[in-house]
Amino acid sequence: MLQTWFIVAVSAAYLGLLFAVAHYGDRRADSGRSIINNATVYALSFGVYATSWTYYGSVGWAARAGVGFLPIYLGPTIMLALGWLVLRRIIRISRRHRVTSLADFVSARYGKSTALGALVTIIAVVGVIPYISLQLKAVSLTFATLRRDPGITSAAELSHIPVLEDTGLYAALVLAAFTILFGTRHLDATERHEGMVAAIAFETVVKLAAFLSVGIFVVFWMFRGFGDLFSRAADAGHTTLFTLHGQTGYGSWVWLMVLSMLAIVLLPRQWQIGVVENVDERHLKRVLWMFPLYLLVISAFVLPIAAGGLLRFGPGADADTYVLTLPMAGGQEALALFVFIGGLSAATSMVIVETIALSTMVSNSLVMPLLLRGRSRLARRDNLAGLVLGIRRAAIVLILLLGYGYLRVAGGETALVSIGLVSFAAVAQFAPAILGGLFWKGGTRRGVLVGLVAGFVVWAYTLVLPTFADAGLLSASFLQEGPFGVGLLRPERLFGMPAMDPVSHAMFWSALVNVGGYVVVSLADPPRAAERAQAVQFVGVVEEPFGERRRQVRATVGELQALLERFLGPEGAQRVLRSSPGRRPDSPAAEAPPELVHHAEAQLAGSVGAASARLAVAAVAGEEEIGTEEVMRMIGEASQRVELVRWRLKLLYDATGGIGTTLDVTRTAEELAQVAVPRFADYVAVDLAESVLREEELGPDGTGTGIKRMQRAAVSGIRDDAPLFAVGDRLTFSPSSPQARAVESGVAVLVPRLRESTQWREVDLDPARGSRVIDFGIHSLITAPLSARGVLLGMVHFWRSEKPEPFDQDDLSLAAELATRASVSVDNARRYTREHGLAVALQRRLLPRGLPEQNAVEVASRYLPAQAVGGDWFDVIPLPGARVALVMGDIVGHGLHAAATMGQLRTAVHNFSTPLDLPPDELLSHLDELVTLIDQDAITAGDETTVTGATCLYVVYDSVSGTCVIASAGHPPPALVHPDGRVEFLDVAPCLPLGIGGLPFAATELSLAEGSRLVLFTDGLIERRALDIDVGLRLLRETLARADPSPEGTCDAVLDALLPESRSDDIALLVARTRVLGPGQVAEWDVERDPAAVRRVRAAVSARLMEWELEDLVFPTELICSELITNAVRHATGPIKARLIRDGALTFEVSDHSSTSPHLRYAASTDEGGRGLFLVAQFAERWGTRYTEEGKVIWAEQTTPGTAGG
Amino acid sequence: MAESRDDEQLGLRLAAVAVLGFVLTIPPFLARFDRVGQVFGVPVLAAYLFLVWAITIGLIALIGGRSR
Repeated sequence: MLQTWFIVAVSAAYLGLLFAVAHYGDRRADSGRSIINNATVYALSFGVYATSWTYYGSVGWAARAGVGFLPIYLGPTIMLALGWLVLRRIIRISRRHRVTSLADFVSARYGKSTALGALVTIIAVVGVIPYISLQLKAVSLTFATLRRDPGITSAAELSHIPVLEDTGLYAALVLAAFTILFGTRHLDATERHEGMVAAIAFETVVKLAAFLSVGIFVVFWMFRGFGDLFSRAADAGHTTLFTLHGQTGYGSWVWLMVLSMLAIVLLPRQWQIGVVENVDERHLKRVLWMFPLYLLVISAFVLPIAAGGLLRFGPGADADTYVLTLPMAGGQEALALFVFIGGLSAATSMVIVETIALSTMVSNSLVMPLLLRGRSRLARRDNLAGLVLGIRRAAIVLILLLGYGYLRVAGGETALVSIGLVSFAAVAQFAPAILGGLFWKGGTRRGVLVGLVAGFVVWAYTLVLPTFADAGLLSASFLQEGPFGVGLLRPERLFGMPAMDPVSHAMFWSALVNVGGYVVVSLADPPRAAERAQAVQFVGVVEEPFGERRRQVRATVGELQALLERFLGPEGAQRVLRSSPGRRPDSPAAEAPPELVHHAEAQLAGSVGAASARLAVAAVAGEEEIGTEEVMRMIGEASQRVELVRWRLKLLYDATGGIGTTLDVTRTAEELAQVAVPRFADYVAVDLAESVLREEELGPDGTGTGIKRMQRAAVSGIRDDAPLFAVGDRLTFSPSSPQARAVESGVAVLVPRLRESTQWREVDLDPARGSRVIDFGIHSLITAPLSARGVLLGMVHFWRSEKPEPFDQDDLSLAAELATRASVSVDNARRYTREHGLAVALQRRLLPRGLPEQNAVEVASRYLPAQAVGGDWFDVIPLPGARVALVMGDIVGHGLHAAATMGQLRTAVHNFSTPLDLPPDELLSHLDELVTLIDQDAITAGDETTVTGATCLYVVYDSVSGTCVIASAGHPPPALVHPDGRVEFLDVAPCLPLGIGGLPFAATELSLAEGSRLVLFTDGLIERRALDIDVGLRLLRETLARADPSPEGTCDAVLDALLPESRSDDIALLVARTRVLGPGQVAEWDVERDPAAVRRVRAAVSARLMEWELEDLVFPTELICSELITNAVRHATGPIKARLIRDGALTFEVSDHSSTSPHLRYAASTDEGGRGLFLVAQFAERWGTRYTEEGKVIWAEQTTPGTAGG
Repeated sequence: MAESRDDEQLGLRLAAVAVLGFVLTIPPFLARFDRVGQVFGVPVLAAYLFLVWAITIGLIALIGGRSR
C-alpha cells in the first residue's frame, strides 16, 4: 500500500528533478552551448502534444470506441507531412517579423491589428481552459486512485470531493508556482525558454517510458501477448475494440482528423514549442517523421491496455484510469507509482507550456496594449519588464484557477477526451485566419474579425453550453427544446441538423460561419495598404526568385506597347519599339516577334531590374498569373533596388571623403567606425594590430611582432552600452572564430545570423561574451581584415542589432570595399607617422636642447617644426672674450634629408666657431665650401636632393665693445629693436645662399646700445602662401615695436601675431637682448715692447684682481699674464694690448698685430724656452687664439669661484 | 531568403505523402477494413491503421532524409 506522503514526496522529487533539468538547460543556454539547438530535442519537445488526454484518456476512449481515438494521432502525422509547406512558412515568418505568439502572428498578418491580437488571446484562453482542467482532473483523479491502492475506486466515488480536499486545487496551485518559476524568471526578447524546452523533452521521454512499461506489463505479464489478449476480448464480446462501426461515425472520424491536424499547429503550446522555441528551421525535417513515430509508439499499447482493463474490471470501472489501476490490480506498486509519475509528467508538461504561451499572449497582446493605450504614464516607465512579468505571473495563476473552476463546475463527470475536444474545436477557429493568411493575400482584418467572432460564438453555443447543461447549470430543456423553446436553436441540433455527434456538429457550423465570414467579408472589403503589405510579405515568404528559363512568349504588339507605356511612358514605349531590330509588325494586334519581346524586356530591365522586367513581360504574355498588385510590388522593389544602389554609392562616396582626413592612424580608425553608423551597421569596431599602433615596421608576411594581437582602436554605435570590447582592450581571436577566418583568408567574412553560428560562440576565451552580444540583440556580423601591401594592419567589424534584416552578400562586398579604402588610409597614416616620428626624433636630437650659459646676451628662442620636418636650425654659441655667436639657418626642403643636412651644418658651424673662432664672413665661406662638398658627394651617390640654397645668418656679438659682426648667406636680415623701441631691419650685405660658391661673404659690423634686441628668424615666420613677405615684415616690425622688452616676451608676442594656423614651413625664432660689460668688469692695458712692461702689467693685474676680490686667482693669473706678455713682447709686431675681463669666467687676453699663431709644445727637458704655453694650458680652463682684422688675440680663461664650470 | 528548388520539391513530395496517408485513413478504405477479426492476433482495423501509419512515417523519413 502506498502512503500518501510517499506519493507526494516522489511527486515533489520528480518536480525537483524537472526543475534541475530546466535549470541545466538555462545554464547551458546562458553559456552559449544550447542543448535545445538540436533536432532530436526539438522533436522530443513536440511530445508536449501527448498530455493526460493521451496518457489516460486514450485508453478510456479505446475502451468505449476501439480505434476511434486514433484520428487524434493520425491527424498530426498528416499535418507534419504538410509541415514543410505550412510550419516552415510560419517559422520563417515569425522569425523575420519577430512574431512571438499565435496572437501576434494573426495581428501582424492583418495589418498589425491590436484588436485582432486581443481577440485571438481571449479565444485562446477561453478555448484552452477546458483542456487545462482536463490535466488537473487527471492528476487529482489518479492521485485519489493511487492513494486508495490497492482498492480500485469507481469514478462515481471520486467525484463530489470538497474543495479543500480536492487534489485538483492543490495541483493547480503547485503547477502555477512551478510554471511561474519556470517560465517567468526573466524576460527574453524572443520569448524563448530554453530550460523549459529541455524539461519538456525530458518529460516526453518519461511519459513514453512509463506508458510502454504499462503496455508491456499488461500484454505480456497479465496476458500472454496480443493474440491471447484480443482473443479473450473477442470471446468476452468486447467487439467495440475491433470496429468503429456503431461507436464512431465515419463523419466524426474525418472531423477528428481535421481537428487534430489543426491542433498540432494551432494549440498555443504547440505554437510555442514548434514555432517560438524553434532554433533552426532545418530541425523541422527530423520532427516531420520523429514526432509521428513517437505518437505511433505511444498509441500502440492503447488498445491492448483498454482490452486488458475491460477484461480485468468489466465495463463498470472508470476506463480513464485503466493505465493506473491495471498495475495496481496486478500488485505492482512500484510500476503504479511510475505510471503515476508518467501521468504527472504528461500533465505538467502540457500545463507549463500552455500557460506560458497563454500568459505571453495575455501580457503582450491583451493587457500591455490596453495599459499603454489607457495610461500613458506607464509607457514612460523606465522598466516595464517588472510589470510584464507581474502580468504574466498573474495570468498564469488566473488561467490555472479558471481551469480548476471549469473542472469543478462542468468537468466533474465528463470523460477526459470530451473535455479536450472542446479545446481542439476552439483553437481550430484560428485556422482560416492563419492558414488562409499564409496562402491567400486577399484575407482582411475585418474578414478575420467577423469569421473569428462568429466561429467562436458558435463554438461556445454548440459545445460549451451543452457541457454546462450536462453539469446541471442550465436546465436540460435548453438542450432538448432549445432556448425559449425555439427548436431551431437547439445547441446540439442547430437549425434542425440531423443527428451528428456534438463535435462534428459544432465543427460543421463553426467552420461554416468562420470560413464563410472570413472569405465573404474579405472579398467584399478590399485590404488596406498596411494589410496588403503584410499579406505580400507573409504569403511570399518562401517564394523563389525567378531563374533563367527558356520559354515561349506569345504577346501582341499592342499588349507589349501597353506594358512599356506603363513603365516608360508613351514616348519611351515608342522609342523602344522603333529601336527594335528586325522586321517591324504592321498592326498592334499582330503577334510580336520573339526578338521584339526580348528587346522590350531588355529595355525594361534597364529601368526596373531584370527579374521585374521578366515578370512583367511574362504577365503580359499570359505565361504567369500575375496581378496588378504584384507588378506594383515589383516596381516598388525595383525602385527600392535603385535606391539601395544609390545609397551604397553615397556611403562609399562619404567614406572616401570621410576616411583618411588626417595622417593619424587612430583618427583614421575612428573615421572608419563613424562613417558606417548608423546607415550601414548599428555597431562598428575597428581593431588595429598592436604593431601598427606602436609604429613598428611590419614584415610583409604579417609576422611582425604583435601582429596576432589586436587592440581595439575605435568603436562606434547607436548606443553606448553594447557588450563589445572597449577602446584600448587587447584581444586575441580564437582560431575558429569568424574574425580569425577573416584574418587567415584575407577576405571579409559574413555571419548573417550570429545565433546560428557555432563558431561565434567561441569567439573569445570567455564564451559568455558571445552570448551577451546575442542577448543584447546583435544578430548579424561582417568582419573584414584591413590589409595593405599584403600586411595585416587590423580588422573592422560591422554589427547589426536594431536593423532587423541580416547582412547579405551585397553588404559583404560593400563592407569589403569600405575596409579596402580604410586600409589604404591606415597604411598611409601608419607610414607617415613612422617617418614623421623618425624625422622629429632626429631633429630634436640635432637642435640645441637648452641654450648654453653665457652672459653676453639674454636669449629666448622658439622652434616650431612644420607638419613635415624641416631643416631650420638655430644656435647660441658662447665665444671667449665675453662674446657670443648667434646662428640661424635654413635648409631647403623638408623631411629626413633636410634634418640630416641641418645636423651636418650645425656641427660644422660649431666647430668653425668655438675652437677656430673664425670671423663670420670667413666662417660662412668655410660653410659654403662644406655645402659644395656635400652636394658633390650627393651627386656622385646619385642622390637627387642637394643642399644648395641653404641659408645661414651668423652674428657675433662682443659684449665688451658692444659691437656685433653679422654675415649672411642669403638669409633674411635680422631685426634690431633699439632700447627706445625703434625697429629696423639691419642692412646686412646680402650674399648668395650656401653652395652656390664663387663670391666671398661680407661681414657687416655695427655697434649696439645695451638692451638692444636682435631678432633672428627664418622665412617661415614672415613668408607663406597667405602672407606676402612685405606684409609679414611690416607685421613683424609693428609687433616688435610694442612687444615686451624681455626676450621671452618678445618671442611670445611675435608668435602670437605671426603664427599661422597651419604651418607649411618650420619657424625658428631667436631673440637676443644685448648686454655691455661695464668698466668694473673690464680692464685694459697698453703694453710697450719692453720686457719691463711685463712686471708692470702683472702688478696692475694683481691689483685689479684684489679689487675684484679674486685673491685666489692672483697667482695663476699673474703666471698666465707673464707668459703671454713675454711671448708677445718677444715675438709680436705692432702695438700690444692686454685685457682682463670678468664675466662669469675670468679671461685674460693679449692682442698684437702679428698673425703667427702660438702652439702648444711639449718642451724637452733641455729646452730653455717653449714652456710658457704649456704652463698657461695647465692653469687656464681654456685657452686659444683668434684672428682679428689687425692681428691676433691670445686668450686664457679661468673659472672664478662662485661660477660653476668654465 | 529564396526558396531553393530542393525545398520546394521536398514540400510537394511530402504533401503528396500527406494526401496518400489521409486518403488511406478515411473511408472508404477505412470502411473496407472495419470488421471484426484478427490478423496476427491484433484487430484487423487497428493492424491496418498502424500499418498505413508506419508506412507514411517511413515515407516521410525517407523523403526528408534524402533531401539535403
